Amino acid sequence: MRTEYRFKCPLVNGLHARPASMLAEAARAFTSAIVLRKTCGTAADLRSVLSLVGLDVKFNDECVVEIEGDDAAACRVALVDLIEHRLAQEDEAAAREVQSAAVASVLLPASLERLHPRVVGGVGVSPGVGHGDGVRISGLTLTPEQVAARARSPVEELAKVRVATAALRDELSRRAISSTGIERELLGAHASIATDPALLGEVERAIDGGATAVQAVASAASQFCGRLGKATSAYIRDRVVDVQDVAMQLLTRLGGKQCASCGVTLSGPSVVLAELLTPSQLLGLDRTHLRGLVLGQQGATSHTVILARSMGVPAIIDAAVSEVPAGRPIIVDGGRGVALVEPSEAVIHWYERASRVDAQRAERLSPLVRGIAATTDGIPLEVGCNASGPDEVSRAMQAGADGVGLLRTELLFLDRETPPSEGEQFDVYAQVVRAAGGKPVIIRTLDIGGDKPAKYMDLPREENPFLGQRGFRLYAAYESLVRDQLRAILRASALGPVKVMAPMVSIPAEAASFRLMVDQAKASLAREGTAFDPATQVGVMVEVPGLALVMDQLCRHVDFVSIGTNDLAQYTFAVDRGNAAVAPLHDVRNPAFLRLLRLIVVGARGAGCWVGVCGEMGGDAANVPLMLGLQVNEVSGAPGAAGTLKLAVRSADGASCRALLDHACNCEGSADVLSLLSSGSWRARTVEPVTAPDFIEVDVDAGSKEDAIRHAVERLYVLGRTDQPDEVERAVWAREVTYSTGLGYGFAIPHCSASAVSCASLVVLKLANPIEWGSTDGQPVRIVLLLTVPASDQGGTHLKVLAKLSRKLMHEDFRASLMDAARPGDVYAVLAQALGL
Amino acid sequence: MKIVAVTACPTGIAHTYMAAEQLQKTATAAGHTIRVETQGAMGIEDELSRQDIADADVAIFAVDIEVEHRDRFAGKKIVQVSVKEAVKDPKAVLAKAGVMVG
Repeated sequence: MRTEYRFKCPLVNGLHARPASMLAEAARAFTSAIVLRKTCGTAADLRSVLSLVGLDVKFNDECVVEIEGDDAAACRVALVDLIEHRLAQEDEAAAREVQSAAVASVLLPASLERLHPRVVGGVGVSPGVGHGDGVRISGLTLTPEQVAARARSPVEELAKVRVATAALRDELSRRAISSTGIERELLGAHASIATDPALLGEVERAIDGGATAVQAVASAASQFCGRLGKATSAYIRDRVVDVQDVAMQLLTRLGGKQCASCGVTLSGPSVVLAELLTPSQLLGLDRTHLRGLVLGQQGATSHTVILARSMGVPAIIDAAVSEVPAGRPIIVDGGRGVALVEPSEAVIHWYERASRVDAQRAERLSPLVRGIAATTDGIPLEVGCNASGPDEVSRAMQAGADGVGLLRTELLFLDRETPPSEGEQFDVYAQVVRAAGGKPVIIRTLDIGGDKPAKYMDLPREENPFLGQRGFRLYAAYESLVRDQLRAILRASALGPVKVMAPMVSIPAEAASFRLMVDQAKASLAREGTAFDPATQVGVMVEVPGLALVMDQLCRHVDFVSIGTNDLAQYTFAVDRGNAAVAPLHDVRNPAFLRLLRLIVVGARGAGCWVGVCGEMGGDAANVPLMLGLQVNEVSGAPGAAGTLKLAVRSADGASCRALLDHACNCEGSADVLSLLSSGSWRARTVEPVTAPDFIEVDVDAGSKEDAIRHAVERLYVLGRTDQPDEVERAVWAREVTYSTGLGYGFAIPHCSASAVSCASLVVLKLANPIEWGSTDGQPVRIVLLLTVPASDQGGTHLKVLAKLSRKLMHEDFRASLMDAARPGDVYAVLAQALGL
Repeated sequence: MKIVAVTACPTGIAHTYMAAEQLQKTATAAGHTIRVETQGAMGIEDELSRQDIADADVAIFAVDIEVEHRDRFAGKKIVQVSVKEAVKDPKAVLAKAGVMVG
């Protein structure tokens, strides 16, 4: 008989290994065939723990258990009881027992974990690895002498403050003129805080009340910070650090060098530890010695973090900074979001090797990231970068970006008294265009509104700034400001290909009027005889859902559109993604959103309009199949992301991506879309060989099983077979713990099936010294064969090759010839002959 | 002895085939006839027919997961071992089968 049972996954952490084995265990008591199927169609044998885990069932996913056989009825009763009553509880109970050990192990690869590093966790905000001694920088604190000091007359104290603020303002302005990019904007912003009337008003009041100049500045700053810190907007909260920064500089001027928190000098390679680091503290540090930042309450959108990223300094936030000792060596791993305190020689070596491996990979893959990437069936996808200034653009170009998909200009306008002049803007845009080296740059005009106020614009307070006067909606009221910016952008077009784009356009008529503004700016430049490119393309952001319905009309007025997926999703689902209570609804893989994107792209392409995607969705390599399915012209991501995005494009099959998108649009939720993506059906049926002489290494110096596995996985990474070595390493270990892959006779065959692998691969390591592997015959291992297969591979020729290899390994003569082969070429010859490669 | 066998491991990439090869090789060397079905990542290969099973004296399951279409073996003498045992010591597995046949 046949029966089935439908349920929603009750496990908060999804169907991971532990509950999967409970299910498999229960199923083994019966003879019926039992399959667990997700509503999107993928299925697994309920008795196979690995395939259950591979289904990737998430909390509340809809599933059905299909049971067929003689004891189906009894089996159903047992499974319903388990799923409804015991599964979630028993899993939680078991989870509590292992919780304490799990924290660090989920973060780090096994080969690093076994070195038992002392780990302080955080959130990575600027990628890369830095190694140096910890140097602590603390916030606003006065020395006991400063606290006890008595004021002279209020007139004298006030005079001191006036002298100090004037001098600080002059110095900041001077430094601003001689610097560039974000740094310049920031110094300008700080000059304006230093002379802020509200701040000085607080200082005066404190002095009238009998405080010294030093005490008054400290108390005014802390009051101000207190108020800003209570703001609901994270963007405003993050300005606290700017006020602290200016106050600290004032205190230095007022109190000389005794101020404890100022004047930190780095004497060698250093990692700075701070709860909050102000941007000028960061700028004041010697960059030749600065290796990384471990920060506490710093906001992810603070100027300090933006600066660190543009300077390429690895940084983590949300770390328990007080647990990190100063004066001791520290490694900051911005990619994994951890700091490693007092790393051992072995940990240092691990990172040194990782960095060599990164360099090898970059060199090997550099031909693949040059030029515009295309799928195996020839569908091109340009990969641009999102940037705020010339530094980021330079790094993106080095990483292989095909252009700048979005140059944000807001940083030029915020935190200052007056808007930037046309000349000042032109300087910045010109630097960006030069940094792009002849590749196209899309410059977005000012995207400002109630949430990002600029003083000189005097924007009204609004109940709902995101539904109020933002972006293009303000342009009519600030004609001269928009004209200056358009003129500056057009002047930059004389130096290289530039496109201009307006944010927050809601109806086609607004696009028409933006084009008119651009035409007027062109006319004024032409009258003056100023150089610009008359063919400069005009486009708009698509971030308001209504535009999707009138793309034909919109495209009459523009040359291109770029989809801002962050705001578009926010307006589509009516959700503020900064609000944790509702943020999960902001889901770009939701089929509703995919259908909306499809409407936009089909509309635009029907009108012959170029389409880019500049939101976070486009910059995530996991979404490349969706982007190819949509047939957009370009995606734009973080400055360092181009290589990974291009490799994903190159490994894809365009036709399969289009089929995947159709399928995804018909799924009922984003969980099903995710499993479609991880099924790998979008990948090209590869003709890449399973192995080759450069997949084989001899005389490998590995000290342990963990080392050897890491080493082999790194080889895959260098060869471009995976871009997530940590994931592959984890999958290999997940298999290894069921029972050792040491098969005896000095051989081990670690293996896995993982979606992080692009095609079936065999890496061979011949070890210089035998290592312990837990083999069945107790013998140490001399030859390691790493077999990795993409999760989607269901019976290609590659699997046959690997199966043949496994059989061959049971034969003594084959093992002997592998043992005897001395060089990679010899090993390859043995494999090629035996396996028919 | 006439033997039929099924091998199946969780990932179905390596051990399924190593166990199959060990059983095949060892049984043939000892003068038995054997047919081995693999249930791996490529699905079922060298599938055993009803006749193969009917003719056999004993069935060996070297598996870490459930055998697919187990009903084919109803009423048959079955020796079940882990994949690991078959890879490590196929002779011992054959000896168990010999005992079962009697």
